[in-house]
Amino acid sequence: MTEWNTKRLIAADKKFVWHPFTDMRDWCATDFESLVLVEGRGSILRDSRGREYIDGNSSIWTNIHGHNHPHINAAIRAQLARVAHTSFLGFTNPAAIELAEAIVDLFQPRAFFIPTTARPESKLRSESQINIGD
Amino acid sequence: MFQVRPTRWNFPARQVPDSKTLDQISGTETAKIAAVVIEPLIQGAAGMRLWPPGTLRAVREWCDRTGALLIVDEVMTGFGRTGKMFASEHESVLADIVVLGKGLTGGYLPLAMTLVTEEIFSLFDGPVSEGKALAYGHSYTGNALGCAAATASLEVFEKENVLEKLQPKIEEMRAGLAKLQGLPGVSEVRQCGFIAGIELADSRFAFDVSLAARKRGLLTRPIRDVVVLMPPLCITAEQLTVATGAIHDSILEVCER
Repeated sequence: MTEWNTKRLIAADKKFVWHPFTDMRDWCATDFESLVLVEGRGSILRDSRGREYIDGNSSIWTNIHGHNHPHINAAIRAQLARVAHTSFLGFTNPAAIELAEAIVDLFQPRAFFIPTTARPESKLRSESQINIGD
Repeated sequence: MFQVRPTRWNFPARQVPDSKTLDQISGTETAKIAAVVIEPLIQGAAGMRLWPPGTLRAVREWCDRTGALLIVDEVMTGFGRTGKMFASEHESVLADIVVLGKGLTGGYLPLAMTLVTEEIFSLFDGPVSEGKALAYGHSYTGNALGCAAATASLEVFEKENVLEKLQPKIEEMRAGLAKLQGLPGVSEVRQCGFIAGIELADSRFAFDVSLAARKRGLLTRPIRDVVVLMPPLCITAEQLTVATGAIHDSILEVCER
């Protein structure tokens, strides 16, 4: 397990970092202990002092299958070994194509068995982006 | 009834409290409405507030009658969070535009996605000189790492029967939350699938309860006066019991003093 210098990390955070939707006066108060999260497995997160917690809000409503899931980790590693990022403006890439196809497939009318206002023509298309806000 | 905030997004926008209110908008005004945006079943950042059942379907039907587009924001509700893959499925609604984010990559990388109907796409299908191309995008659009994570996350849903295994956990969460009803300081306990909001008497309570829960091994973050519990779908029954128990004991610690 990596040893973390928690004191130094927190001091540097309070000096250099501006956290979103956070009362920075409360955050920077000397008696407030910021948690430095360093590891995760399944629903459990571990902080820099080795204490473990249940990730009760899925890391701001994002986490689905738990942290460090071997299948997702492997997919990211495999992609990373090929290339991390290329332009989607004027070019395309297999990962984005595959995802668009899989997601649109989930939204076909048959998946939603539209009963009243049938819109069989409503096939969805996807436009994917990195969204810093999310 | 309306909160009219015409300047916030540089175009007129209204907030409506329920689907019935849509019917009260005059014909001339209705004709000017481009779209209705809704978080299906439950509003997240507004404090985990549930729409009355049937709201999404009623809004879909209103949009069909008036020609307005239905934009469904599944950023929080998507990917199993409400018990089905997408919250829209609970009311068999297919939107004209669907917005995805957060759980799209399983929570591993920051990727969002916008889905549109072929009909909307066709309106943009033409030369840039005619102003038809989508004049929107980002340097990191279509990021391969994010997309690879997202596809892998969809595969996990299938491989591990995630939605099937989730159903009993939703009931276990319900049982855990029932013990919070009537505790001092608790105004209302709300649940939508695997999302829960515990509304307390004031926002200081919610902040302090979240902080107190930390000592009991649970991390969460309140929305104003609402304590949020929405763990990863893979949480075990034992961990879920610890989580609701931590909230229970933290409420007693904070609200009884």
